[in-house]
Amino acid sequence: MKLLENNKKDFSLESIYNEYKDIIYNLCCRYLNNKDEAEDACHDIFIKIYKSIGSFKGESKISTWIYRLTINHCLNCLRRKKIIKFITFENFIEVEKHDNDILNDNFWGEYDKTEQSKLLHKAIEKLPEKQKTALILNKFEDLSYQEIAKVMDTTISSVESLIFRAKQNLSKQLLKYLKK
Amino acid sequence: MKHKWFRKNIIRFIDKDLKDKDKSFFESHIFTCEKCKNDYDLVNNIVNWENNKKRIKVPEHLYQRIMNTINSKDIERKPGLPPYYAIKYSFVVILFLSIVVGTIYTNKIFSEKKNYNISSVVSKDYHLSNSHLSNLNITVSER
Repeated sequence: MKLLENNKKDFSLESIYNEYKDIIYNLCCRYLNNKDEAEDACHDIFIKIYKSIGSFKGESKISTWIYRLTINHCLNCLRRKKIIKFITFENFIEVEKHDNDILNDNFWGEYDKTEQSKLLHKAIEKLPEKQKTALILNKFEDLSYQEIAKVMDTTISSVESLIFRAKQNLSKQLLKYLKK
Repeated sequence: MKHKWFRKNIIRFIDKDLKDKDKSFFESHIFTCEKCKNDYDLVNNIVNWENNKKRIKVPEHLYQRIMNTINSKDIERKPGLPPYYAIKYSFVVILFLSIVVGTIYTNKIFSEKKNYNISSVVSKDYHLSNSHLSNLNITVSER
């Protein structure tokens, strides 16, 4: 039935772009915390969608497929960034600068001027990948545990435990920043 | 220990995720511990999911940029492989690799056997020393 529903839908790039551009761009911003990088990632994701829409089998919702593609792409970008930082010794040079810049040099700071918002996003950034994904999808994208489980290809109980741990780690991280 | 637990679960309390028992402990602890209450106020002031749900506007030129890339690179669309193709191709790859590994392994065994010579066989089977072998005047050759 789902397959039929999906087949009836228009899968042209333009219609997908109009329907999902906000979701994809905002997810990229939340993961990458940088306007230019988010735009590049968003561009690459739409190219990927254009190339591989043929391989979409229609077994799941197209939104689930797009969420999965976006998250995987953003995580790959973050991993690449980490490797580049490691190779160029940026990690060692900019450790102190990065810690000091938590409240200043932040994309969310440009967008939302409140200190609280900046801090929250910085703390979320520090969470482990899976916890961060589950929390972002639940709190900012309003996805149910069931939908998150489908996007992350896992069980509902593991999503529950990821969000449980994410909230605990976030509390600890926030207090760490606030007490600095 | 209870202070540590309290600090870890502040967001869970804000989100009303705590069970009744934990919730009542949390509420009573706020009144008894000044330090934990301060921590709670700090975190409570920051964690406001609704305020952070605002959407950022997508750059207007993005769609044109995507279309330019598609047109300039003439990107081919993948037809999408059904899963039985994946199984078929992985089976062929495994078969090919096992043939290659098997060939190398058997060649290695035969090349090792070629190194046996009469002197080593005789000395091993009849427990002869080197002097005995030289007396017998056996020339070393390949089997």
